[in-house]
Amino acid sequence: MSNNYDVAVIGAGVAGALIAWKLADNGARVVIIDAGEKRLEKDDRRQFVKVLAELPQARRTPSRPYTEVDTDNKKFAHSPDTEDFAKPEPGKTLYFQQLGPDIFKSQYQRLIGGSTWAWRGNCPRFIPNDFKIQTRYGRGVDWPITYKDLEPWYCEAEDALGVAGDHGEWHNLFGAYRSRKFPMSKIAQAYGDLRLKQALKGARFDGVEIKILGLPQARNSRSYDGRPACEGNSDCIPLCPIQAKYDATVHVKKALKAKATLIDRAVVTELKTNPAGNIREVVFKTWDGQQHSVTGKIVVLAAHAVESAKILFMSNNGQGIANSSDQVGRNLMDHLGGEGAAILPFPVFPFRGPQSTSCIEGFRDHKYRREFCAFRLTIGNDGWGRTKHPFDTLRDLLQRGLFGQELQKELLDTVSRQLRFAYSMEQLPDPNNRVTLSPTEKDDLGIPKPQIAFQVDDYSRGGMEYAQRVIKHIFTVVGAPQEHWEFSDLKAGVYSGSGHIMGTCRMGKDPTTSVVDAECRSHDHKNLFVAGSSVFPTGAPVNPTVTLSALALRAAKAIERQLASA
Amino acid sequence: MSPGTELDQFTALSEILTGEKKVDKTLAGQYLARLKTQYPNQMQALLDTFSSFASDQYQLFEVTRRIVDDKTLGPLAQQIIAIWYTSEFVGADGKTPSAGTQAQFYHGLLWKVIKAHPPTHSTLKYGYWTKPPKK
Repeated sequence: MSNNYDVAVIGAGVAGALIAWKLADNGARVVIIDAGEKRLEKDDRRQFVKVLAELPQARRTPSRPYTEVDTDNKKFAHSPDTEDFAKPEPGKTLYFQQLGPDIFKSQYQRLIGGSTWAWRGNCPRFIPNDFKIQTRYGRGVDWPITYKDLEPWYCEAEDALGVAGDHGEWHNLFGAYRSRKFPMSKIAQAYGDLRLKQALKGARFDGVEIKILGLPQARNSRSYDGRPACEGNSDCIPLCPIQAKYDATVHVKKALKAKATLIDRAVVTELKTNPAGNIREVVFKTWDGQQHSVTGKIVVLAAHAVESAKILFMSNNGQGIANSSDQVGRNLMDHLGGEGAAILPFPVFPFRGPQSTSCIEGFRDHKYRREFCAFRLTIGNDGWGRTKHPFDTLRDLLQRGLFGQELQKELLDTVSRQLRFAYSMEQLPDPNNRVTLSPTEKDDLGIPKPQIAFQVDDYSRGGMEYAQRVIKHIFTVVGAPQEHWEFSDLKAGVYSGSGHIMGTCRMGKDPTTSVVDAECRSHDHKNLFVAGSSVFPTGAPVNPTVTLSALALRAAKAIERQLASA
Repeated sequence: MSPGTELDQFTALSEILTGEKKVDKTLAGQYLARLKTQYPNQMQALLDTFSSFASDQYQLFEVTRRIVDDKTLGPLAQQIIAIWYTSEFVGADGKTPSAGTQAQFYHGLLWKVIKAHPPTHSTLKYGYWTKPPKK
């Protein structure tokens, strides 16, 4: 079989899968190359569910259902997990080489379908000001495109992923008009969210209405695209057992149906350019250590922000490519966050339904955005979330000597009233927050591990403090007793990652300050496109998937045009 | 009545500790075996103690006084409750959690007590979560 393709897509996550599907469907010869395994069958999902159920609670992290199966995935295509969120101890080697001063705490999945296996499905769009925070607030950088440029592609992305949402609630939110309705009505909001909504009627903080909205999610509120309606399994992260939540295997399968070729268990080690400066070859190692290559008239790099940057650095025999701006690997961003938890005066009955169905968007574009970051709040439907699992609440009650009926009564009374808010912050691009190649550490295929320098700035920390004040106000309004509040300890510098890894190949108009142009095409190599959240110049405070999907579909159109003109 | 076999004793004690009127006997056998791998001698001592007052009219009072509040037997009683509620328990080293099978996880009493279902194991249909659970 020929190894020459029209398009070679590196990475079978959501960005790569959408592009592969669109182009293959349009008749292009497409190959998809992914580091992880192909696990597309129902039995594969059942196996992940089983593995998850048989893990101790403390080890049920987003990556574990996928890495604990009987496979060499962990060895040859390591998915970073909580174990990698630490400075390596002497003698111990982790995948992330954390250089500090702060710890980068987000993970991703390296298997076909990528990190969408373990996402929550939240799909809020950016708002117009998110694309121009430099112009509006003197912070970060502006995008080379506007909300208006991306709006039609948001509609396409929402249809492709199957986003359930309430048009009336979201149309014109901070000027983010919607030219098309969501393909599905919103996911039914959890009982507790509805109770909270009643209790917060008319509440305001600092002049902002505390308004609870239904959260747009790529989760089916009815049968859609051959997948069933959500059954409320309460386990969106790390795994939806029935695929009511979208994951990128949907579009991998569509691409395969359109005659795309998939090469799994193949870790790309470099791209090679020709004298004209175009990418001529994609080189990869399969898990058996053998080296192979393919060619593509167009090459799409969609291996997520850490691995994509690594591949560019390793290319042309380690000289690096696409980096005349010196921006590859820089401006690494996440949505840093934390939680505020309380015992409410009324039951909310968590762990029934999706893990989150509602949010508060009023602080997306607040009046202090010059001083500290914008943020969103989501309401958990999972008790105290990361703050305390019900198993830990049980442990507390057992240590108080409770058992029998008394234990049952107390456990129900406590857990049924547990509620947590999560805050998610916009992090500014900082060139010193960067991914590079470890000069010393290599994985089992001999490929350098990523080295990460990361610092949380005062712009983010200021937003976290303000967000906690908002949540405390909410708890006060609803009458949640203060002695049972639990907040991430900001004085101790506590924050969490969101798994929203952005910014290592940012887009921009100026080739001297950005890696790709507004269509995700490399400034330096005209047949190289980068897809995924790695191209985000700034990250807004919102989940990136629907935005990166819109950008990917927009890039697919540009690739189509480029192929046609070649 | 005075429980007969070890499994009978364990089952009867489990019902008192968990607050369930009737626990599944098959699961009881599995849990007893799992706990005994970590706590063989302590389990024997615990069941011996329990059988010594199992027919006492003040059984609940005695379980509190002689098992739950007992410094030696109390921690194992907590692990018995933990395994029934969560399918996992803390091993003899005080640290290592030992998880059970998928079926055991799905039988965890905690989810029933909080009127929910085990994660990944809803048996209900779309939208049930907008209403409070049935009493």
